Amino acid sequence: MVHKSVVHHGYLLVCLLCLSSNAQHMLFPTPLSPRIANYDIDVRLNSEKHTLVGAETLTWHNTSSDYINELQFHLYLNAFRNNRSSFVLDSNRRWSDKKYKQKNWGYIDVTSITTAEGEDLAPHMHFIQPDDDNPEDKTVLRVPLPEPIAPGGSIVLHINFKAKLPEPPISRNGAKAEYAMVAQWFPKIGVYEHGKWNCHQYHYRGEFYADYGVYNVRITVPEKNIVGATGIEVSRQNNSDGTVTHFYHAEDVHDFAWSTSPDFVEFIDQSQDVQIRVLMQKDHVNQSERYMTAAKLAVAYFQDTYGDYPFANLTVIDPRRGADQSGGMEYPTLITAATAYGIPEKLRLPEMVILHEFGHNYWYHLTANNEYEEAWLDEGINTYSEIQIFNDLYGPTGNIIDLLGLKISDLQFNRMGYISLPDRDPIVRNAQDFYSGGSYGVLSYYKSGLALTTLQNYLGRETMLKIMRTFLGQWRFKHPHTQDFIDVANQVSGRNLDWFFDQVLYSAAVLDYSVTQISSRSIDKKTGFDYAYSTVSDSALSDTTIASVGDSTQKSLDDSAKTYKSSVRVERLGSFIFPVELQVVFTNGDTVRECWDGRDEWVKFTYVRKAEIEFATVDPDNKIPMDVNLVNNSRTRKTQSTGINKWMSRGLFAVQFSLDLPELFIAIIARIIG
Amino acid sequence: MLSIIKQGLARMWAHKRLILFFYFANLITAALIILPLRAALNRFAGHSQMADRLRYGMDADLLIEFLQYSGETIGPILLFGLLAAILYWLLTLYLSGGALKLFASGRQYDAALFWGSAGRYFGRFLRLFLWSLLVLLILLLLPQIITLLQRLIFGKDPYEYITYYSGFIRLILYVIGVFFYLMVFDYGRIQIISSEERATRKALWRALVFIRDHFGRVVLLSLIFALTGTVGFFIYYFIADLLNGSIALTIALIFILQQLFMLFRAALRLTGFASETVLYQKYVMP
Repeated sequence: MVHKSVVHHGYLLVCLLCLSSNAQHMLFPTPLSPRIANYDIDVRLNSEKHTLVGAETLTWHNTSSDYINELQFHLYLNAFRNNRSSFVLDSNRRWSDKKYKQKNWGYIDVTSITTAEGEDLAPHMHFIQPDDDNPEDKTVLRVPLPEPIAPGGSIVLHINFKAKLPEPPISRNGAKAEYAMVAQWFPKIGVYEHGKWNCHQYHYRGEFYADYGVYNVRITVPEKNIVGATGIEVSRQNNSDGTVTHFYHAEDVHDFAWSTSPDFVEFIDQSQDVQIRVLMQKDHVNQSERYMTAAKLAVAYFQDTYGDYPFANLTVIDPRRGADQSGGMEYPTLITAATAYGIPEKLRLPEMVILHEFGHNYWYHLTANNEYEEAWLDEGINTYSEIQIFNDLYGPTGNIIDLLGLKISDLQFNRMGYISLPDRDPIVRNAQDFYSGGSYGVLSYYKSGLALTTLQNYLGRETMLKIMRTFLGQWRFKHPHTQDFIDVANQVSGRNLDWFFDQVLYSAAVLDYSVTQISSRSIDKKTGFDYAYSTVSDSALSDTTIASVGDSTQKSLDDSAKTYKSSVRVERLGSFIFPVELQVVFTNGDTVRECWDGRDEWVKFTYVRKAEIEFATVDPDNKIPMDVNLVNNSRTRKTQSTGINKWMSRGLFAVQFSLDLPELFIAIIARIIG
Repeated sequence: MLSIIKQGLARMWAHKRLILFFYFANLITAALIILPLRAALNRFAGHSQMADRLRYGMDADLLIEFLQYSGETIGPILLFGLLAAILYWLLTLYLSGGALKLFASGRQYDAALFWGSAGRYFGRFLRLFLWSLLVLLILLLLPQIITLLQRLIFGKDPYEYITYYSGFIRLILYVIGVFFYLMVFDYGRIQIISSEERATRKALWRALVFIRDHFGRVVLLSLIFALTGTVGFFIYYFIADLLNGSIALTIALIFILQQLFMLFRAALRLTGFASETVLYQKYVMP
């Protein structure tokens, strides 16, 4: 809270302080993070050629106990340099030579790199390929040092670079005409941990990992341009050449992105103590309220639910038409959205993107996990948060799609993806090692989100909330790993949940429980020579029944009614073991609940009652969205044909009507062709 | 125009059994597509509690899982549906020969004349259809003028709302084009029957000339039938919405209403054929 009060007045304060560009800016009196990688960057955009010329001063602190002999840098823009980069090769057919003409490729070149003492490091720098040995990939630069950096020591480097943005944007960044989304754009140092550099190449799948620091970035663009960037704008300087330099300052962030366009239309509002700035494209202005409302809801919900958002502002960028690839991405205090003109209000995809991307300002920007190695830690947790927020803000049904009688919730939306490919990989593995891009997405986002929702239903919402808050509290501005989350969950819940996480995260086990059989058959009265003079057996039978079903059903036992021996067989069809509940409903309305640890392949429950089974349902309260087949969770005595007939009669009518309207078909086909 | 419609209605009513021919052709084709789908859904979820939820509305989980786990069944059904739709179209083309001949002759229903004419003109109608595709192609290319205009006025990179609304205008033009094409095809068939024309190209040309010469009347007649169909649909929809329920009785009532509406559609279609025949005869063979 101390930080926030300072931040609120930070803008004015810093403006007053920064009379010269060398002034020291301070938002947080006490650093929130270790501030290992700190950047001062001057960058100039040529808005016609989409090139950048930059001068970067990096101050890097060695917080390890090792002597560091070399540095490694990400040069992400080189992923778009040629058709042999690992990114392009990984993407298979999605990026091809045909799509990109010579002028459209992107790149970054380090033109000089010197130490503070003026020693030139450029002659020894070279590209390395730590992941795949692809010599054509130039996304990681190794810079040997003349002298090692001692533990606790620091180094200051001056790096000049020139870069070109891909056009149109590819995979989060690039330019399109007057619009530019400038992300992963500067030489960025890797993370030194566990005695080595963690500096992965830029792959088609997987995202980023970086240390926190302070960023002072001066962005020079044409004066007509509007700029949105990470951090806060502390000054603006008009230059004689018709450009303006925007000075942005950000503390305790691990990345810096910016966007610019003369066509942006600016909207500003406030949510709790956070200023929200939405930069809309002109053709989406009529959706500005949707954007702003979603952003305000996101800020308020996350602060109220998970804890303080320590930054003063949030900027939402609306990507330009034809630049869709720059949408739906998260950066510290800046997110990119996605929409299309005319999208119906009850198709809440723009809201979903904004809520999701803002969520990353918690799960990734406050807890800076390695997105390439453990994507689930931010994407999965964030998807879980997204499911919660949609459920809480827009209701449990139809909260993402409510059109033409079809209601789909965010939970169902995620299940739809999940059941398509649930079992190709374990969740925890390097992004590029997944079976396919689909498997990476399904497991990192959908399965992880549904697994945490299942865990919430198992532990209770309050406990889950405590887990999330504790995780955020303990790992704020640090680099958590999977085990750290598990440890927090175990500690907060007071249970050993390793059995759950082992199956969810480290195996490809599928969860599917099913009621495979129900049966009720009447028990004939005992007849024959042995029972010729006895009616006692019937009452004995009733006694047995009472004993097995409990007092609640005693009243229903009627000697004159038939007695049935009923059974329910529940099977575990997948290898994922999870405790489940079973509900058995009898024709007289009686209901029985059973618990099963789910360990065996199957279990059979038997009842002797005065009524037949009407239906039986495993997981009757829908607590296990991870179950890949919900239809087989229940079994009814009679065929449920009424609902099927209702929809099939509608279907029949729709087909009849369509057959009778050939002009409709021709018009649709012509429209598609046109 | 009213007298033409009255005469058309009278001729249709004189052959009202044709309504049943067209209606049952439509119903049987649709049933052939839907019944396998119903069987697949029943097999997949018939004994699940989730199927019961369908009484109250579409259940997204059920829909998602049905599509995911019954893909091998649904694919062939959809393919079969496409095939059935083509066969249905051929069947109605076949039946239209008999119907138009009866309407043109002004005679009472005669099974031999109906079925004989259906067979007699089918080949010519098919050839007429193939020639008429040229007309359709031209009509479908017309909306591309909007694309060209858009390119000329707004360039290669127009704002999204420009492409959005120009898409709407194109769609309207497509619908108008198809509407016009169906008129051409109808009058082409009437021309073949009225003049026993074997050269279908000539029939097509004469149909075009007829439409040009009597454009206002022809369009007005088609519009009246199109609007009557639309009004009928809204009346159906209004009543169906009132009846919407989750019990077997309301579901059955809606089914009956749907089939009544389809009977109305079949009658409307035949009245349209008959009225077009009357109009043609009035001005070409007075």
